[in-house]
Amino acid sequence: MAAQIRLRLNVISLAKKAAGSNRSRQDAYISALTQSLKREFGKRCIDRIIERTLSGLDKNNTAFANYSEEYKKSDKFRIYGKSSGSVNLKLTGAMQASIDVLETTAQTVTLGFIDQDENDKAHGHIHGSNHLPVRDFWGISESEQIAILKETIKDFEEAEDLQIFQVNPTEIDIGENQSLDFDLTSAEFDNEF
Amino acid sequence: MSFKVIVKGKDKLFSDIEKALNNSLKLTIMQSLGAMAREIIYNRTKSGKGLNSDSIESPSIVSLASLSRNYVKYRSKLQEKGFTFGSFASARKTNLTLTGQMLEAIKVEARRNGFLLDIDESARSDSRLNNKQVARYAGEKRPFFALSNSEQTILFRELENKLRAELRKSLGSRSVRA
Repeated sequence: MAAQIRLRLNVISLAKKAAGSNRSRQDAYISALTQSLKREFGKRCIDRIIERTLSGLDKNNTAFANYSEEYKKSDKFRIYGKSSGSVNLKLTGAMQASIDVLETTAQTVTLGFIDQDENDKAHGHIHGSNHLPVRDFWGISESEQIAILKETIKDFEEAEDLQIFQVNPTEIDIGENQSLDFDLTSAEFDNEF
Repeated sequence: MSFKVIVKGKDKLFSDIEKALNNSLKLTIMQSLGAMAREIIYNRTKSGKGLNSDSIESPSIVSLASLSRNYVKYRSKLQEKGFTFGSFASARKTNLTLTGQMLEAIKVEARRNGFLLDIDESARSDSRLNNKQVARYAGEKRPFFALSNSEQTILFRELENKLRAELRKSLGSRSVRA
């Protein structure tokens, strides 16, 4: 089992930098940091990390090391429709899907993996292992964090207290002729299938 | 041999969400999710992986049980006679593929609040059994027709991202909190 992969973002520090030197503006930014805003900020940072990774770039915006010839010739490579010219760390998509906002505190937002296997997979990419080259996708520049925080605060400025949905994957009931229920807490769609 | 995926809400409906996600859009999202679920099962099976059960909650992904020696001999003889296997199959490979008809028969029916995954009861070119019957038989020793925990997470995340994107578009300056 690999070490837990975490990315801790200090939103207070980011808010101050986003606000600039004006003290009252800094206070306004900081007071805007509600639980929901911080969570959405975290989600958007995840979106950015995934988007950049899928475009083939690591956390420093450098192209990932190429796939091995052996891997490119494998059945898996062809089955999942991968392109030898595009290294994007996605086969099934499970690793990317496992990234989530794990925790928000007064000062920080922590990103990580909700599944240990996917965490371990990511660890292999980030640090290199089992003859895999390092493909460190795990990070986002401070300037991008600030830009995302500003955009999130702007979007929340006039927002009502909308609880849109929380997808809860722990409440699942699936089997033959049974149902897999996404627990969308707000959207009451038609119960009749 | 089918399972339903129902998107079910528990809290009161927000009128903004209902307006933002009209029925046509909900159906589109469910069609997309259903297609994704189909692709997940198809690709996973073709790559030689199945599940440790298709009747328990959150089954795990495991390698499909190997083909028996006699069956491999049979498939090898077929190959010698010029038989063409389905895609990504070979005499020895265990990925529930001989002709490929069964996996190609996985179908999706979308509704605005979910989708149904099933195997079509379509006739086969090589048997009196239809594809659904063959799937039922194949799935007894090599369960494959369900979604593992990590596969369910992929769908949840896709749904979440689609809804966040649509609501951000529709609600304009209002926030999307997910």
